[in-house]
Amino acid sequence: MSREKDGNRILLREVLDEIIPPSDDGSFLGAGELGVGERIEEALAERPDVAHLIQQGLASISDLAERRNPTGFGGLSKSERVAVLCELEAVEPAIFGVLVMQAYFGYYTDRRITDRLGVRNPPQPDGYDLELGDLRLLDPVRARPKLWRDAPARESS
Amino acid sequence: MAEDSVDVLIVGAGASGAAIAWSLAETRMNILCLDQGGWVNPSEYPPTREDWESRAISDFSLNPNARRRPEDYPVNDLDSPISPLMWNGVGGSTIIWGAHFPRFHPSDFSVRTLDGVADDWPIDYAALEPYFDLNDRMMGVSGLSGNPAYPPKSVQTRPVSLGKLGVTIAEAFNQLGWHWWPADSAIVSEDYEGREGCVNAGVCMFGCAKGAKASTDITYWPSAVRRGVKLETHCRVREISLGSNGLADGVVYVDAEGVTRKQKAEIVILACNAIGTSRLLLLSRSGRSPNGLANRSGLVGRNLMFHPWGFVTGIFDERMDGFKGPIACCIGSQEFYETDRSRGFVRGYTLQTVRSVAPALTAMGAMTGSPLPWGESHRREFERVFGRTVSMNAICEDLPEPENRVELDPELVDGDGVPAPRVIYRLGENSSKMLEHGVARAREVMQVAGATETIADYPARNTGWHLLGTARMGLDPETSVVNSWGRCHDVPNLFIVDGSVFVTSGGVNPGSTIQAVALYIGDQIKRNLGNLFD
Repeated sequence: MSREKDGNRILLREVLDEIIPPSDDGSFLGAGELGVGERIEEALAERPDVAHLIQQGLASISDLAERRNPTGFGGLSKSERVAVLCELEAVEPAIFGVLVMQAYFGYYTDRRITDRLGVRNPPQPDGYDLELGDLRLLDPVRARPKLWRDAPARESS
Repeated sequence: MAEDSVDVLIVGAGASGAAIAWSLAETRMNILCLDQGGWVNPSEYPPTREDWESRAISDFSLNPNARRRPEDYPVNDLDSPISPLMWNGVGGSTIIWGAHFPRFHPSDFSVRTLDGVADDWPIDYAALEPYFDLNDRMMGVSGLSGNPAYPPKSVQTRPVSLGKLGVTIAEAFNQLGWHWWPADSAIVSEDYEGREGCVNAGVCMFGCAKGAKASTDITYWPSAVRRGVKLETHCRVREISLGSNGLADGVVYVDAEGVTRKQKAEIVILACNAIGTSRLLLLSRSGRSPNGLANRSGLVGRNLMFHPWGFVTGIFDERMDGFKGPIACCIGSQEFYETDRSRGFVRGYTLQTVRSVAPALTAMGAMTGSPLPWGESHRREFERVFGRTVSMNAICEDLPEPENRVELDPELVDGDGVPAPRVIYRLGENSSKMLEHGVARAREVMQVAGATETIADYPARNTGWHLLGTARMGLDPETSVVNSWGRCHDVPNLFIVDGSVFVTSGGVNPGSTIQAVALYIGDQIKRNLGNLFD
């Protein structure tokens, strides 16, 4: 594995942790820590067009970070990292949008997260129990006269 | 594929193509259906995999321009505030529909007589009623009899579950004194005809692997194929050919290997939706029909109707868990369906309660309009929204306007180099006023129900499911493309059975009426077989 690839992987993890940070109480991991970067990498193996955009985004983040601190994104404070991402969002909104989208889909389709949210994943075949509801609520509607209008008959009917 | 002539050639295996194939099968004629897409194995539907939500923006997108499967054709929608949505393949758009299945009302067929706008249909509710009933049995409909907004009708299974979300909105409707009723849904809530009842997975628009949601690949097609109808997939029809006698003599299509072939037929039936059918007619130009086939009236492609949708989302403090249950089917109101001129517009709309989505699509803003913020505020915003939204659509009747149309794009082509359709569409004044009214009423319901915030999007762009009107029915060949039973005025052995033939759009989802019309046309063809070419 190349050093560049390793570096990108670390950077992606750090970026993902800024896009979806861990919860304050520590009960939810951030997206990077959860391993969303690895899932994105796998998913994009068949989407070179999107993978290219992600690489472009990471390259821009590196450049913007190094302008602030030669040690790069990892050496920045929390507020500086956010500032770098805000800058990318402003100058390359489409690329940043792809990064956010990949983070959201990767994070919220992870079984560890959906389980915590009470969501069955995958949703089929089991689905959910759901109450029919009390149909006596319809009593005032049933008591109404017909709402539909009569219409003149056609010769064909 | 044998190139011998068939008796009946159907183009398109979706909602209407499946229904008429099944209807005509009893004649024992030699019937062939060509579809540009293929079968989808239900076990391969996204909701059986953990990454199912991400497929909503890729190979299971509702929008063919985003999906870009080989069988899809692009649609230039830059001149329309509404993007057409569809599925190309066996089952057509029933594969990805929400399966909300209301019928048109009696008044929908007489808008000129009753309200002085658009035109009356040449057929009426009474003519279609037996076909509505038959179609309901074939598709399997859940709901509840006794709705005062409709003439009496029956259903196959009890309503889909309302859940806390539906009950909350029902109580709000009651507080307002407005009509509401459990949705008519082409989703069986209990086991029916070998299909398992709905398990409330909330995934209807990504394909229902359980088969509780009706799609014509599992309803009409198995029976039609058993009865002898042949269905060939990955065959893209690019032209209807005309014989020297002025009758259609078959089609030219590109097969799965990319080979261009001719299929001869005695009768040709188009079932490609209002964009695909008008595109195909416009593509079928010849010296005899320089403006496209069956287009003496100049109305092929004209009068395109969507339903402008006003989409209102309420955010609640309490969990509503809208990711459980059929997303498009819960309860609806037709309080504002019939004309009341004091509202400032004629005709009306349905308020359709929509549930919600799973976590990833919530984060992407599927119900709130834009992706949730990233960074420090993300979790707080996700917690505020996820499982706490309820949405409501105002589905507005769209009146036909000739300037709203489908044309052939001068540059854009499909994967076989065939010109793609271009859609030109503007909201009319009546539709705009109706939409404003519907959005205001939907907000009102949400507020009475306890929403702390409402968000509105109208006309909502990605809502072009209902494609109607581009080859309208009528008695006069100068002002319509087909007669009262779908036969082209100009080409007596060419029929159209999809939403193209709609004269007006009603204010409800059209799937039920599209299929009832197809079955009606099927019976008319059978009755007239003896003198079909006279």
